[in-house]
Amino acid sequence: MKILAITSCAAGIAHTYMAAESIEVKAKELGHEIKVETQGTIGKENELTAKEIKAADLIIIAAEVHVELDRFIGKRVYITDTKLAIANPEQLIANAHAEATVYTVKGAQAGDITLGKTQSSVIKHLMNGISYMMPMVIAAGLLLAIANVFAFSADDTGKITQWGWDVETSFGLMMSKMFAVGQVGFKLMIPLFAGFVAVSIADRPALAPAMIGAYLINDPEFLGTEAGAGFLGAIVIGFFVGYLVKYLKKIPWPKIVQPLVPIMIIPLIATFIVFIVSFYLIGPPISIAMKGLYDGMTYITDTYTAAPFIVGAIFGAAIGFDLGGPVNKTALIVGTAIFTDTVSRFGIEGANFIPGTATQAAISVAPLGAWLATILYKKYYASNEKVLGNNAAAMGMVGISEGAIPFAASKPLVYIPANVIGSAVAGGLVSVFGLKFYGGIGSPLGTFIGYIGEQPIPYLTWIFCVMSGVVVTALLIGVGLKISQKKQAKLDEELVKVEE
Amino acid sequence: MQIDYIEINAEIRTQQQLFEHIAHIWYRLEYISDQEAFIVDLKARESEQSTGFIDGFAIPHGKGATVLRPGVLYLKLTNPLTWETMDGQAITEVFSLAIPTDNSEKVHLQNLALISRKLVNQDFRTKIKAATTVEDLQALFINI
Repeated sequence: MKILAITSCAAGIAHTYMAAESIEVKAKELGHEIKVETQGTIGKENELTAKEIKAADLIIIAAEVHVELDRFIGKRVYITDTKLAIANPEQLIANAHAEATVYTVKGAQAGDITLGKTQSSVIKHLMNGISYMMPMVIAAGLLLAIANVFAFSADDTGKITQWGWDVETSFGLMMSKMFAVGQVGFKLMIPLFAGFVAVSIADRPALAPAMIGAYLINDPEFLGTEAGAGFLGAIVIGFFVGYLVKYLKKIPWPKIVQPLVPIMIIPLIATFIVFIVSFYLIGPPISIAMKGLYDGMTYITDTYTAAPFIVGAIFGAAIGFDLGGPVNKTALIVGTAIFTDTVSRFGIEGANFIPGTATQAAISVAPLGAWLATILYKKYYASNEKVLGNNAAAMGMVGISEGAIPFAASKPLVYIPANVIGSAVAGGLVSVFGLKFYGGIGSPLGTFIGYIGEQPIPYLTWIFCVMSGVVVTALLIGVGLKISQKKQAKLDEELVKVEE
Repeated sequence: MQIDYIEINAEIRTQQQLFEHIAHIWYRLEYISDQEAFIVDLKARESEQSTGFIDGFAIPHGKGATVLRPGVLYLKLTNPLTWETMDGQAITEVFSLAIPTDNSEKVHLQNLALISRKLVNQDFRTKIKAATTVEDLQALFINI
């Protein structure tokens, strides 16, 4: 087996080299080809070349400090510390052989764009809230959507005449209650979201005040306003409580009350403050601003026929741009926010599905496009890239944009424009067709797992829209690869001429 | 290679004493400018992960701004000293490195890397343990 390794320790002197020697000796003893790069205080020594990496079967990283892994995209990589390498190199090699995984990075760099990872702590806190909220959105959304299907009475021509259930029948009663269950979920998810944004910032003591605060700020009756402050209000509360509690934790409380600080004192103080702040300060203005925003959006959507396509395409494009990076995450957050917010504000009938549905439709376009390109344009790909293509397909089918990262990182100028345009096509099309994504997994499979509402043939329309984006992406990748190969050939030609 | 300092029959009873002893040696030889700071560096490294190795060897090392130039010393202890090691043995053989934060003295740093690599060799460790005089030890190091 051809094994490559990198060793690096904190001080960059003793263990770096002990681990390197230990791995080298044992690997040779076991009959493997081995090369170990040391990243110590002296700098990189015995550096691995691109050619060696390409030929390697297994990469071992034995390090206590960060080692840059971008050059190992698509390789089998095993990451551990120097301790095991020194104490038992044989075990290390056995473990590495058994447990190494193909490295497909979160967080590759492509020029100035960070793919798949975001450093911003604001986004991190928001995503924490969203990840806790998602199961509730899905559970509530699906029950609500199913109940909704049975709420329409149509006449003989298929035209919808009436909305509601016949609660005299046991089935109608059950459906009406199921709809109510879904509504409970939609009501709870905003406090849940704010709670876990705050937990992400300041841990457990922040949960209670943030949940109470987000509930208050969405209760028009409590605020004495026409509408609640919605998702935007929940974001404000989540961050406000998070940082408030973080600050309160820093106060040097007297030793005797310290056990009570996290469970009683901080939640009590923070909840009181959040009550004052939401009732007097931020609740009413945000509530008014949000109403204006949604009225405006509804007006634009109703007035201009092209608006849904443009909005959908913009959100789709953002998803394809950096594949799980900050732009992608922002689009997801905004899309989800607009959906959940308009649902809780106007009910499922008045909800704005466009941005949320567009982001979900676009989410699988880049990885599936990359996969399709490896099938259509075989000659441009090395065998290990084809494996990455299958990997991307699997990730794409369950709605993980990150599957396309290895490709985008290797040739950003080819892949990023293709991803953006294809994703925009998918996002724009679902919006034009008026598809409604209630929850589930955004991918071609989403139509069977999630519920894509209210089209005559929603399943096929959804698959058609997503696959149109995928095909566009793949074709553009093909064009891009052709151009970049020609350029390369030209460069090589010139190089030869110069040498002559 | 040349090792910077060798001492046999070092009477050390605790980890604290060992660190003080090492810091004192480096200070006296003008490898470091501040003993207290170097002890803190040694402790910081030790708390991250024990530097105990196997067969009674340990490699406590410190990296810090008060280290003036890279160095490696060897101490043979008269009494086994309890240490967190990979095989649970108490230590009698101590290699200690002083590492500056800047890496300008490449050649000397290479030496530290070399001795670290050599310690992985069991044959080398056996010879070090068996050596009883400074001359024998010097001969072993020269041949690295």
